[in-house]
Amino acid sequence: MSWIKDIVDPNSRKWEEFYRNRNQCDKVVRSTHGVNCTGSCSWNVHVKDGIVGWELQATDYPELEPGLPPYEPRGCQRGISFSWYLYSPLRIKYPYLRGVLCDLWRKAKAEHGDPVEAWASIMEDEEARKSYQQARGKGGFRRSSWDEVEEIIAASSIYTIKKYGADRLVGFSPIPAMSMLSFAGGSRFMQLMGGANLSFYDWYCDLPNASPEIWGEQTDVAESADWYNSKYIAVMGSNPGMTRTPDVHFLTEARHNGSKVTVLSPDFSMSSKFADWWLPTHAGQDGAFWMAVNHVILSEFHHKAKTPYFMDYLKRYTDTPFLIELDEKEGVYTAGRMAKAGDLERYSEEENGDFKYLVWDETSQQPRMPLGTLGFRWQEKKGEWNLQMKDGQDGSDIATGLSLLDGNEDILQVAFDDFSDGNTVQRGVPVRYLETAKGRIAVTTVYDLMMAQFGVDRGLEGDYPQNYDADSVYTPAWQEKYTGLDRANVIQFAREWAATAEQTEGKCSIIIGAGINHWYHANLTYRAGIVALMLCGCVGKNGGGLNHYVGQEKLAPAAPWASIMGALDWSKPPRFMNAPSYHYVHTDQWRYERTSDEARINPVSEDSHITGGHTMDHQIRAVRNGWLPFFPQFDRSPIEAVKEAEAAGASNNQEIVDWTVKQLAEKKMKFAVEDPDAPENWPRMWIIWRGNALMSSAKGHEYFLKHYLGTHTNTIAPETAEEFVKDVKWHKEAPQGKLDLVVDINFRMDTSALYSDIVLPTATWYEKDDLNTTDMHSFIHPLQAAVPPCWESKSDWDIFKGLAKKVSQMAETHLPEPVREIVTVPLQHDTPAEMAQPEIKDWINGECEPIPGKTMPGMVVVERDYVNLYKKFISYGPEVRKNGLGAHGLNFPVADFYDELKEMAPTQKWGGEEYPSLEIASQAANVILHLAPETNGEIAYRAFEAEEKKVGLPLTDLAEGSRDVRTTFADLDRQPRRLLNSPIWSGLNTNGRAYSAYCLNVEKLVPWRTLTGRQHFYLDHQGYIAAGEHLPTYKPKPDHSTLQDFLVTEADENSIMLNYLTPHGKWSIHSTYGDNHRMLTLSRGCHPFWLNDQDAEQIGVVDNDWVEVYNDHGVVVTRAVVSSRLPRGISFLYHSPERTIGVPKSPLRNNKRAGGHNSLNRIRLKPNLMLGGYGQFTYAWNYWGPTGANRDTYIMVRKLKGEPNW
Amino acid sequence: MTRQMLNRFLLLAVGLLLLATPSWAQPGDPLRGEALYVGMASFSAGGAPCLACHGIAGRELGRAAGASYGPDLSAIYEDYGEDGIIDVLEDLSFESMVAIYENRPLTDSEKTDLVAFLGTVSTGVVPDIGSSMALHVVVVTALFLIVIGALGWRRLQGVRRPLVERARRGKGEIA
Amino acid sequence: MNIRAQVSSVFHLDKCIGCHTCSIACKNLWTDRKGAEYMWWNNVETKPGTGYPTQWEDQEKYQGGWVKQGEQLQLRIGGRWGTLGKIFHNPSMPTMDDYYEPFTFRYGDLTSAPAGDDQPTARPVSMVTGKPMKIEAGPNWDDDLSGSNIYAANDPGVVKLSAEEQQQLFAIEKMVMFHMPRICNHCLNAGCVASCPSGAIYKRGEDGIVLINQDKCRGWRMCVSACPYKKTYYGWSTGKSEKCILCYPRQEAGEAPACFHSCVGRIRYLGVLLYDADQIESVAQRDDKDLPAAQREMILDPFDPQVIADAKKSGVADQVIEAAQRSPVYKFVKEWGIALPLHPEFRTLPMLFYVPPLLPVMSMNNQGKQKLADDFFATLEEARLPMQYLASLFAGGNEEEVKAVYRKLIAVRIQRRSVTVGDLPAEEVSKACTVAQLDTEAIDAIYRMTTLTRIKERIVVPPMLREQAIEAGMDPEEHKQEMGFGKRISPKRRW
Repeated sequence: MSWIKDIVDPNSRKWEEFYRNRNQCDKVVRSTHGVNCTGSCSWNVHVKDGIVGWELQATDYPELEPGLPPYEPRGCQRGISFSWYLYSPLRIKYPYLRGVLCDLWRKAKAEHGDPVEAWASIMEDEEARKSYQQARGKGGFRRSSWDEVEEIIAASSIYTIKKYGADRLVGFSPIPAMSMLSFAGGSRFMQLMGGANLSFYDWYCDLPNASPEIWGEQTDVAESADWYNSKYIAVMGSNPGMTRTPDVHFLTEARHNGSKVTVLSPDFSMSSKFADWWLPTHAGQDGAFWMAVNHVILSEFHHKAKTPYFMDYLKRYTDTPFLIELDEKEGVYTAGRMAKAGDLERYSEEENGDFKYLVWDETSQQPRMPLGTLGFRWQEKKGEWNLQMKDGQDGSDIATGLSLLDGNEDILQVAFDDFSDGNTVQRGVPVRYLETAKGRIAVTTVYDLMMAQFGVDRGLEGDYPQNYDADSVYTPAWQEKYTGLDRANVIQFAREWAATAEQTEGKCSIIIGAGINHWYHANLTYRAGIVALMLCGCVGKNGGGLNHYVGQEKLAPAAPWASIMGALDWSKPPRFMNAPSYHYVHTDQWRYERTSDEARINPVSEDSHITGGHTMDHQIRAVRNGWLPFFPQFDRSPIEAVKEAEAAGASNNQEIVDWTVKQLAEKKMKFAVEDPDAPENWPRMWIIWRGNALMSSAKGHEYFLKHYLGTHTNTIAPETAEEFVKDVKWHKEAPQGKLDLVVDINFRMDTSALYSDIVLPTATWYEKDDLNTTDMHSFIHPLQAAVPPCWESKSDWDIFKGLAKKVSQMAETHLPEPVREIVTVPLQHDTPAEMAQPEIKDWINGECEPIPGKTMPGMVVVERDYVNLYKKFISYGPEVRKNGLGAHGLNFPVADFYDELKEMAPTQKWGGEEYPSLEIASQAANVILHLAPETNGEIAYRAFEAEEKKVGLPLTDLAEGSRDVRTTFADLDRQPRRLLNSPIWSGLNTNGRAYSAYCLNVEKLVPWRTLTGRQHFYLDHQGYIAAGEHLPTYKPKPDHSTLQDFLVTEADENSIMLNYLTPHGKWSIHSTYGDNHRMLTLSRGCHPFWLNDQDAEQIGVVDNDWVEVYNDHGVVVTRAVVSSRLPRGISFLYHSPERTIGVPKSPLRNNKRAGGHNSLNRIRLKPNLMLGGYGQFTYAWNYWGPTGANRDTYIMVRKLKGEPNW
Repeated sequence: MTRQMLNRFLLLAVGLLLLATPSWAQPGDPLRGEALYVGMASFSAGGAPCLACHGIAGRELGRAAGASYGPDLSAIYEDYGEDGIIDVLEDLSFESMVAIYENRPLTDSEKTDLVAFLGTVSTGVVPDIGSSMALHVVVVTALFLIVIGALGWRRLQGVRRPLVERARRGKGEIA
Repeated sequence: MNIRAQVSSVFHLDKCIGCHTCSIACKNLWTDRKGAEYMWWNNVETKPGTGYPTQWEDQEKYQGGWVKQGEQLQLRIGGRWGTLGKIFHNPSMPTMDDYYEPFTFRYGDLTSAPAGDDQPTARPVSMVTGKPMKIEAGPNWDDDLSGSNIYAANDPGVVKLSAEEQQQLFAIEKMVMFHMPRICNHCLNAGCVASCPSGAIYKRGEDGIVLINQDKCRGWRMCVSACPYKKTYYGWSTGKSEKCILCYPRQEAGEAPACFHSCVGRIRYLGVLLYDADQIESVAQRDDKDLPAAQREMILDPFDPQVIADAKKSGVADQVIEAAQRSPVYKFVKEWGIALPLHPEFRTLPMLFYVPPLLPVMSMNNQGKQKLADDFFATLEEARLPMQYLASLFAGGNEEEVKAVYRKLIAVRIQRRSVTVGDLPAEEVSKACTVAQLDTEAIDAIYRMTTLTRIKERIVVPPMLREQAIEAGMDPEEHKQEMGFGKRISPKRRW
């Protein structure tokens, strides 16, 4: 060929060195990305000339079992752009201090000398305090020094502790698993001081409440490799193609191995593209689809076919055979509480008989009491908490009956709520009668109630639909008006689903995410899907189950980590609080809410004392009854409370508690939550690290600015709560600027940093040592310093260590002696408090006695030693050695390993004792790795031994083969390590098997941590029954007229109203990466607002036009993406933009800077998620509580008038 | 005329121009300035020709493509004047020029030649290259225009912007 | 026979998630510098869409690639001499707007803004002028059907479809998209090589990687025009053009190119193909519709003893022949025939092949107008993208080529379903395999290669025999001693 030159001549190719030189680098260091991403990808960071050049993925993951695709490479477009941050102009290189505060501080310091007095002088000068609060977010940072800012933070802490109590200090950092030591450094500091740490999982609305409701588990899911085992995958509310970037290959590969993928999604998403079948359901209506699917499954595969695998599974692993009492009122029966063994004469002497439940035994034709229920878990005699279908009294086998259809004593008409059109239907249900201590009661099984609830016609009397075409609740025809999908889809889907499950024994799975979980009624939609899984025996199977991937909740070595994180190695209990309640109350968002609207959003068939009233009053009841924690605790300092008790004659801790209870009962002392706007009840100092708490996660962001910060805000919403609230004290004027000091620890100048008073420069993820795990895979990774912390930054661990030191130094003057304070704790999950409140009774109304830990929060007197705070911070305390470690109600001894740590690792010696050192992060990492069952085989063995004792069945075989495994931080550098089997988790990893949740329960008969020990279709809680959510149900999506988004905002012909969705996007992980140059270049140089082309045309908007998006809460100004990919009526603003990057001003709101995505919403808490005190409905941090739902929001959008104003 | 023929014709014209170009010696030679500008002559230090980034609409220079990285220089002589242009070339006042010319500075004569050329642009004067050559230049310029027309004037507008404009006019649903 | 080795690739589009990790891996390593901001040696496009640069596929506009002139092939912009005429004025060159004006933000303002009465924000500024700008275009502007009524609607492939087909594509019921990553195709009949007036562009003899010699490039930019894929870029800072180098420095070290290594969708396969260079000219002149098959034909069987002997005679090293035998690209392209070249009608003989994407079936809507899938998996008839559209991308308009691939992909799924679940009727399974002309052995091999392979099986970098290459110019031992020191300047001596 003439013109195509092939050249081999080396001389003319010498120039090729040009690119070779670029490629060469000096070293490669393994690290990963440490916040808010569930990827947990191992990266090789390339360093050249002492500068981080670029990163590429590690590909050396240990292999799983043969026949599974490997985990390589892992790492997405966002992660690979991280190196941009290190040297970018966005990097925070030095400590910064707000200028106005800086001037005040330096002046006060010169005047007073003593830092605490200096701080007090500013705080007590209202004008001075306002002056810097109003400057928040408006520029004017000054470079400061570590010395100065540490001094201010310590002074503010000590001032607050002395004046108001340590529970007015608050710390927030998101999901720890990605950089668990960085998280732990801050929480350890806060807990040693006595401050409160806020939860994240529920606040981000990532906690799927259905998981604790059904499984008594925060969340447990399959690692992504297990998708490959699934032969039918339904994807809903999740866009793995976009958001699970490193995992989605398992999904595409599964398809090529013959798996079917069906996607429910309103838009043609990146996942719809992968689907075999795309079901474009209306946004937020997936629940209706699944309810109808369940109708078909129950009709065809249960009632008609009685599929043996399904029947057998339900009997063993679910609550379907359990007996439910039917309550009669005016001739109408309703489903009530679970029948208790203790009510039967036969079992009346049983320990915890009221917490052991009954099934129908087909052999004896008697109600029998199977093992494994709540009462067995907490009884004296151990070894009976397992899933064997044996009678707990005599050990005899039970032939479990699912239904009473054959051999019933009666058919009763039972009322079922149909919230879809506000009706009730009456349907015949087969019953038996039991003679009990309460008299003769009618009972039926959960299975029979399910058949009736879902309208399966079994030839019984009542409002049963005749066929699938009947427009009766939960038929395929019924769902059409909600989902917009033809009934034929439902029928075909249900058949394919159930047939696959039958053929494969449960290899059907659901991938689900924020697209469902961020709706107000997410728990119901989740349950609707989970029902389809349980009905087909798909939970606890490889290839089966509910795979919820929202927020990275899985911190694998949880037990030792928690001891460091909560400073539990020194004292208990910690002050952990659910953030949704915290912000709802303290940012005063409750003041903007009306009872009538909220009640319409969450309909109940009959208003009762349990369901009625303002959400703020529900919140107060939840605190008073010990269902939820709350900080600050009381209307006075918890230190003062102890002093007052002692002044009143209390001589020991018990008497201090007694005195406090008495004060509360006599209403001489109040819970702070009852008057949150009183200055003594405000949060005072907030430290934010690893997160973007003022923007990315601040639902109701504009209210944060107004009430927390006291600076500018774009909300115009009216306060409407006054006439509706009862128990909370109403202040005519809501306070603005509650927080004295906001500290942000960050490596980039994001919105939270910009609005804080002090910004501390932190090391990036390529500049520090840490640990990282995820639920997406089963390895543990290190973060490591490829280069030392740049400029003046320090790792989070070292920052908090520095703060601890400063506080200790200052305490020598101000808090020289240990002080005692009282700490309140809610009724906790995985403790006997699960049996505390089988009935809802309010002590405040005299319905019961106020008993701490039973009818009200527990109370503990603890001692704080501020002078030794630093020494405690850097020493692994003695409580662990003494009490062992554990989680989820399990405890195992570790004293010998604790001593081993002292032998092999550096120690701290003080006060005549020696402790394993936590002085530097890698030491803490080694402590964790050495004491966690997931990384130390002997500890795993021991943990299974402990679990064996409780369960009474063999389990240690699961750890036998790996007893000699030990892991160090240095090992993780060499290669990612796969986690060992551990009873703290429910999947099994043996021999490279893919982790799938609840395999331990199914295969080893370990109970779920629920009332029955089984998976729950039926939620036996008085509050759930009152809310109509005891059975799986459907509640309609709230419409805009009830949402109070437009009380003062009016529509005009230039605007259009759309449902406002903030799904997780392609160009950021929350707000991280979204501001970096790479992501902005590959997207549109902004976070655009997506809308449908016809909607856009209606308001004259063309692609890339500037638009103003607004409602009562605030305003966003950005450019529009017009796309026919979206259906009409919905809009996207991908989560989550910074208002600091290219955001112009808003003509609509006084030409002030427009906001971010959270400027357009306000938190709504679902009251029945505040319930507690019984069974799996008890509190644990990030496990239970109302979530920060944010999907139910509407906005107006119009074209921006004129050119953008900067 | 087919495109093929046009191309050949153009080639011929360029050849003529090359042949007809006199030797460049005197300072402030606008022709040499033009040659430097378009890259026909190289800067001695090896810097990229101006046309790589800057077009001159008045001369139909570089309206295609790459020559739009920097602003159009049609009016630079009027805006900056002789000294101004020299200053810019000396101080490299624009960041994007620094990378190109910092280590490849222009010689003094190159600068003055460029200034001379740019001066002719601003007044619309065709450099005086002698009457016999003027004809060639006129022919070449005319050929340029014809070729441009034939090869698709539309392309010189860019591709993306018309799509957006069409949408803006409400006609862009399906092209 | 003139047998040569070519490092070639396959991108499996059904696995592509459009994440752009590849693009950034490349950007980080090669084009993150002044003058290279807008260079995306690797980019990812949403199809239908106009791509990067805008509507690059439209050669009426851009004049890239080759055309047949009777019995001869000629560059569309004209032969090498013809291109000279365009040195000063080349109307087929993409404008900056067809790429985009690189932008950044005044990030530093956030920290340095003085105290004011409102919140500071980091304004967008041009990386060319440094001045505030309105961002109107980017390298991935039509991502995921952004601005679909402007961009997807003007996809050159879509414009060719009938009005009815076009309407269907943009109704939500028929909505469709897929992602298509693009790098330099390292063509056998590369337009860029042929067009360069400076002779700066060449194919490396040992592996066929196309490079622009940075010492010889004069920045004429003819390659920018001549490349129909618009994969060479002019660097305004250096005044030279650059393009994808297939990470030869990484391959020489035995590593996958950065974009292949980082491909988290695991869609990328790389390996050596042997071909007969004497056939280039004749193959490149075949009719549009025959081009995919003709290109397959010129790829030689590395197990054929005759081919091996001829290859050795042509100077192909034994190790490279062995690598060709392990090449996954050979299997995809030749053995299984499920990977096709992109726009073969450009006649550059691109050596990057694509497995086309499977596409979802839509549910029935309320009116029940659409047929619900009777089959468990999508069938060819239900494909959401018109076959004609795919054929215009990957087969020079030859629908049969595309259909043949789909039949095979469907057969693999059905067979695997039958093995792993067993709920499909046996006759359906065997029919699918027969129609696809695949035996179970081949199906098993395709399934394994698509799903289970480790990086070393997906990406088979041939031994680059560096010591031998270096030896041609310098003693490798000396090279070992001196490498990395760069230019050494002797100290000035006083004597």
